[in-house]
Amino acid sequence: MKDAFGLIISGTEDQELRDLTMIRSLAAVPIAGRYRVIDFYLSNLVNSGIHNVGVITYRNYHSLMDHISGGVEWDLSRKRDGLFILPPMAQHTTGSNSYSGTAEAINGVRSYINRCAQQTCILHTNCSMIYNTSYYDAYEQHVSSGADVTVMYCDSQHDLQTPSKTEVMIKTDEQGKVTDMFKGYTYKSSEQVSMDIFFINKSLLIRLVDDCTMKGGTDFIRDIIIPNLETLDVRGYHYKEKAFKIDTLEGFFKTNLAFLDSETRHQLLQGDGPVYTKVKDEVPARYSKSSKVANSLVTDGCFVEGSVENSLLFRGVQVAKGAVIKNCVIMQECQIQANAVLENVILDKKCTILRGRRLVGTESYPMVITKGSTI
Amino acid sequence: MKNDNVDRTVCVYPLTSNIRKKETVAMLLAGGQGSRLGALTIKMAKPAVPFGGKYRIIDFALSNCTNSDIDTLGVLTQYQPLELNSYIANGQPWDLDRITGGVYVLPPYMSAKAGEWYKGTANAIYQNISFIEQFEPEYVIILSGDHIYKMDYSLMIDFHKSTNADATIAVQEVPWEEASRFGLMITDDGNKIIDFEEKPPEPRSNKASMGVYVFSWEVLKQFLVDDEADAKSSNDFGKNIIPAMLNAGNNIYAYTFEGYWKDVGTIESLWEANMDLLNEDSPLNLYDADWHIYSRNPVMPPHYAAAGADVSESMVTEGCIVEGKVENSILFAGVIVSKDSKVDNSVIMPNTIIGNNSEVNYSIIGENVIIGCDVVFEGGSPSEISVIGPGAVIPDGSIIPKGARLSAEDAENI
Repeated sequence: MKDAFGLIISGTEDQELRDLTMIRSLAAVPIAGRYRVIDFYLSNLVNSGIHNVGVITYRNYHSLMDHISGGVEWDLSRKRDGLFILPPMAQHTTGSNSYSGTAEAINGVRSYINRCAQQTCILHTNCSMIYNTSYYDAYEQHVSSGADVTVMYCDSQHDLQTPSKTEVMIKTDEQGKVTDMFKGYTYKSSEQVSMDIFFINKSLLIRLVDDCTMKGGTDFIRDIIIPNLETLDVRGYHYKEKAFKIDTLEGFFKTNLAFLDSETRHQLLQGDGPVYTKVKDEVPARYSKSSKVANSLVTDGCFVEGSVENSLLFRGVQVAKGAVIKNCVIMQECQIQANAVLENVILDKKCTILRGRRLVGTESYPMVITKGSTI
Repeated sequence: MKNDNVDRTVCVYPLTSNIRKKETVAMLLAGGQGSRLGALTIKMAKPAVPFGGKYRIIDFALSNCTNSDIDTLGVLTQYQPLELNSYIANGQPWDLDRITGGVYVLPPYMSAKAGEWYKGTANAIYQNISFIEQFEPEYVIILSGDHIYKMDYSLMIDFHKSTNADATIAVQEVPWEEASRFGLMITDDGNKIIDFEEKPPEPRSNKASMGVYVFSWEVLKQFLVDDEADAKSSNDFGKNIIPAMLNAGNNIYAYTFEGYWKDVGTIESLWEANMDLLNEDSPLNLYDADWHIYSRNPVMPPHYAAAGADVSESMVTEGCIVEGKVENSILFAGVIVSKDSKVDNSVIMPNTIIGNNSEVNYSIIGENVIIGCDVVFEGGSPSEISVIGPGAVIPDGSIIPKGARLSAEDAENI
């Protein structure tokens, strides 16, 4: 895979995780105890032997920059190639401070694409899925089939977990050629759902983006791929492992809780390679005499005195005596004071829940508490 | 023929400057075997022994350096250096990957005339005089890589400057009844050292040397050279250099350090120092945001406590899977405690697996050990700690007597 580079668009307009994405792009949302969403994307690329990755930032990318900075943790701090953080507005003059669509985002970083020594772009048009794979097989198929574009898809019934209400779907013929691509409802059984990962030659990509921009198009799938399905050889690659969709709050919540299952955890965190992330020097988690913990993931820096069940505690969470946490996702440095009760709650970073408070959401509509709140 | 009209001035505005100069260079003695740690140090030097869930013993000295703003440091290795070399590598986890300075691992080497092992602590420094000289330091601080403590060396160096000393020795006031186990400093009222006793039966002082020395470099260099010339010397700081300096009338001061300090030279003290961390008001605060203890972190998922797990009064770190009961214990990265098993009062080092229905108590279990199912450790006590060496495989149904010391090789014959 020496001839491929990765390009990741770290956020788009249509991703709604309520308060979680108010202050950061989807790529920077904390997930699975100690990771951020982008860790999965970067690790997949690095575990496929790719050493040149561009990340197009979206509005409010401070927390993303903070997390990936020089790319050392992903082995992407290199003299040759490495990690490139690409703020789109730095290179075009529309006056807005971000892009309105994925094609516009790519257009904004064309000088990076032109400069890449590698020819094949592995384009991720968003960061809304969690999976662990190496791209060797897909790349191999892309090259040997001679396709102009290869799009990765998964089966909505078997492998796609936590789908959104509508997804981008594709239809393929017997040769695997994509004949149709459209947005539709996922309630029907066994659909081919696009994972929004495209393998495409970089000069073709630039040409298509140019055409699209001239016609006033802004979106890669809507304005580039779909209108060109007749003229381009677009093929599908069937991804056959579990993939988790996280662009709805319910999906995000269920994906986190899915990490409590040993098999899923192993597939997502070890699968085709480890998931790398930024290292913090936290002390190991500590339990006191009164602590109870069952079916939970607990990260370093936590101090547990209360009871934790079916939940994820991120770094540095404190659970005081008598507090009860059930089916919750508690992000970094939250403090749960004595006798507080939380059920089906997502606490963003640095929240404080005062003694005796009771917060209860439901499985399909978890309660989300904004970063830094005191309740 | 000499032409007097030629200007022979060499460039007066060079583009280089002496940016390598450092006020203080630290030298960390990490070559000791730590033979009293038995099976734990067969394949690694004592400073590399894992400690406290995610650290190694040497992390404390390295983190103290970086937190004390000492960024130039030589680590002297000799015994089984592989583990240490790969652990320290470029020093990045401790912020010791610097453009000038940073951490250097210094094993013994061959020179044109001869090559020899480090004969003693002083000889180890003597052999690296040229390493130290390149930084043109005013002071050299000698550290030992096998103590657990948090200490601001910059305060000790300030003290050294204020007393105008040639050498300053960090001391800790130990209980009088234990004093005879230590090297003791006898001082006058102004903390000036007037005499020195090594493990005396009847102590005259309770100021025990911590093995941390600050020297004014020019003075030390001369003593090192003289000491090397003395064929009878055992080339040791405590035995030779300090007494020689006292005899010569040099100013040596004692710097009293009052925080937590523990020599983890024996199995019992290593176990105890680990258990100290579980104490609710642990004298060694690892949560100090201003004095982080850094370590090379493996990237592992958060630990998973299964539905039937029961964890109390313990420290558990990333990558662990707990299905059984864990009480008053420390689990390092990647440890698996299978269902119906019970671990209490134990230290379980990285990637060790404990099978179903086993009982481990009062033990230190090395790295990558496999303890089978239905293994029982007979009830130990704080003075009878069992040790299982790294890589050992304990077969199903074994009974481990209390206070057992088993290396991987011993375990094959169970």
